Amino acid sequence: MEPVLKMENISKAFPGVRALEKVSIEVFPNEIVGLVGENGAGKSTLMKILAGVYRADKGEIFLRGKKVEIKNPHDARALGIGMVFQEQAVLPNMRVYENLFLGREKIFARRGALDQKLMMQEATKILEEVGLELSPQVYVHELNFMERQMVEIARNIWLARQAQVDYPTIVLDEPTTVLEEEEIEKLFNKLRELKKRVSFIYISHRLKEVVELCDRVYVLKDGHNAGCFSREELSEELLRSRMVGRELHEEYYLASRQRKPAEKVVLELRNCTKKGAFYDISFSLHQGEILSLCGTVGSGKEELCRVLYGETKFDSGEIWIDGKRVSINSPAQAFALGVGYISEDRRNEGLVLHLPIFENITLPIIHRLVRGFLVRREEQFRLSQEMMNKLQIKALSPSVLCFNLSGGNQQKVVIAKWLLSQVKVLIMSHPTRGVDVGAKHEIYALIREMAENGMAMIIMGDSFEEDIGLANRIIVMKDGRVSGVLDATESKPAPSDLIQYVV
Amino acid sequence: METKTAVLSDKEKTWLSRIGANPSLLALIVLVIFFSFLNPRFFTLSNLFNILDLASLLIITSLSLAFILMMGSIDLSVEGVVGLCSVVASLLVKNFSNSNDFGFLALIICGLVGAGFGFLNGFILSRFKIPSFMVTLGIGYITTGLGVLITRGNPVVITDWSFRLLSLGKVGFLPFPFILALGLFFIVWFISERTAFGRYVLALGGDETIVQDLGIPTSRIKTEAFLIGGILYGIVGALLTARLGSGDITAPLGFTFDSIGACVLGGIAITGGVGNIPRAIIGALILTVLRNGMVLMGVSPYVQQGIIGVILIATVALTIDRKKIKIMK
Repeated sequence: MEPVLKMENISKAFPGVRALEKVSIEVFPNEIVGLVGENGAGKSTLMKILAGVYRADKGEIFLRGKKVEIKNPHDARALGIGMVFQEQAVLPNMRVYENLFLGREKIFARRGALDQKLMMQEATKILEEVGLELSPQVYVHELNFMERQMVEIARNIWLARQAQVDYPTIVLDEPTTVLEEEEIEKLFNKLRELKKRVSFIYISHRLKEVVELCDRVYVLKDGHNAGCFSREELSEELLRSRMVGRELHEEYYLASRQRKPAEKVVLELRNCTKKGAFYDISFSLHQGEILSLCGTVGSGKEELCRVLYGETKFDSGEIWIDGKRVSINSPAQAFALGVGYISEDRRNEGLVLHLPIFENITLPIIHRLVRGFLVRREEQFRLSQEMMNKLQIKALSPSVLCFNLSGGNQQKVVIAKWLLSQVKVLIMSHPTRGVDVGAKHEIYALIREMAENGMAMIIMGDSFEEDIGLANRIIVMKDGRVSGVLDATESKPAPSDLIQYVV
Repeated sequence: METKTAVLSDKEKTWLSRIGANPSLLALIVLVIFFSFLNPRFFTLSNLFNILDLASLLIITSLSLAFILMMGSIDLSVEGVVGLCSVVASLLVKNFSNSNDFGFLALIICGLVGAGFGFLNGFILSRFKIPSFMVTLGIGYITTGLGVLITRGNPVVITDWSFRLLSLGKVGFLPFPFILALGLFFIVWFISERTAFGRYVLALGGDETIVQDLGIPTSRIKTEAFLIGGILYGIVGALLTARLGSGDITAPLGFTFDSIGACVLGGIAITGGVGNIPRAIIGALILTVLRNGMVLMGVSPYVQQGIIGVILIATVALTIDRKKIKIMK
């Protein structure tokens, strides 16, 4: 049988990263194809190339045997390729039928006016086809997550039919993350029913579901093909072993500088629960300890960190800092208690890009530099220059705008800011994301130094290797609960030890 | 699969449940009853038609703002464009300043002038990706400046009595401007509900990136929405001249925020994506009834402004979609 879709030898590089290296996949009619891999393995890059969001540097895409060029999302849709992402592309303020036909109303127009009756009829037909029993009149904000997903799937099927494509390919990106057990079962039944007419590419971190649902599974690792398995050979174990298995260079993460943390507990969580995000989390963090939080996107680790630095609140549980029970209601309060946060989105959250380095570095402590009503600028400069020398921030002077710095240097400015304000606990989300190899190494060195000086850190790394390499201890979260705690001070666990707790 | 049959279709709803579901309409009715009890002169035929007459210009500008707010934009050029068109109208019909006599053609020319500035608003903001807030503020200044430049700041008195009937005439009891406003309302309502363009306006207010990803020409839609607004301002400019008997750049002072206020009172969210055209008319009537009722009760004009301000803030606080605005600046 001829494949509906064939992506051949796709390569794609971003500045400093090889995202994909000669990756090939095939999708046949009546098939649900799984796509699994660690964060950063290249799944989403591959799918974004298919969707026309990115363009491949090298490689070819064939649809039903014909070579195609997908230059933009519009092309992809016209070729019968649909995407259903976690950030849903439906408009909650409009009705279901309006969402279904958005952008294609023309065919329902009679002398410029839309024939609503006809639209409703057509909408009812498609909704029936995907097995969604609801009135097309309903506003999308009244639907639950899965229903919205089905509306998107229905739209993609309809669009493909309009483009006269018999077997559309629809990509589902982590469709089950926010669904309850029983909804997942419903969704799967619908997908199995729909695959008579549609081919699906199913991206998920939940290997159990992948094994249950998919007819064939591709594994990606570090931007390479790492195997393709048919339904018969499929097992969670197998997928897991193929997803990891890189060699670990211990010294890359300066493991020799790793120290045993002090006895003193700086931060302690007791039975913290936030409904829908994480449940019953307890752990303590010692002075000078580096703690890694592992888990997939949606495992609850991000939410947990957001609670710790005060952006959201939990429903029940206690936080203790330095032996005192505290409540953290805002980032300002977290900061006052000695908790700092480094966002993965440093351009938007970590830095005021259009302010110079010295303003950024001294921003949290500016009240300490005030004499009378005025800020002592020479003091701002002196402190900033000191930090710049210490952290080797490469810029001509402290008055250079952060906007003009490289990713690595920007990250160092963020770290400098927290170093200067002497926080006790620093939460770092992907501290080396988008940073080149050299700067990465310097940031690792900095993290080691901060630990030596007694700062406690919670890190969410970019890869398991990074987490394992840096951490004294690793807490793995899965579906909002702690699924494993691994010690990494005495000896480093292997990524394969870790992954069994993750997925 | 749970079905959503509990949601009534539009036809099944009774008129009573519709009023209940529409707090603005309810507020309007309560206000009318309230003022009727307080002042016997309020609920008289002559005063009610007076209210319709007073509301008509505000209704027309609010129709435009309804479109623009639903799209998630804002238009601060109302006063400027209306004022300039009022001046243009006065210079086109018989007047004391020149020898023109275009008669009712002036109304159409005003519509075109308004359309021109509306187009400019939409074109600049979509082409150069400048927030509508800034662009329309700028166009507002430019049009006001042009109006002052043309007239040297003095009102242009008109002598064309038939033109004045546009605003002063009546059909039976109904004031002519209100009939015109009603006609425009039905046209704009139809455009909003029954054309693809109208639906895109609402969709844009919901989430622009999604709309863009579906291959819908967002720039064109924005430009068209502002263009329609411009036409409406032009018509209002001409009507204003007919009403006052002169073209005056300062006459429409307060129109911009009255129109925005009317839409908000009617339940159109300033964050975009929520609302429909009838709400604009309801809002405009609420604002006019409030003013009229308070005048009849002898409330000081300064206190009136204050009360309207309080009501506006309260309405926004109740209707705004806070999810869309992370940080208020």
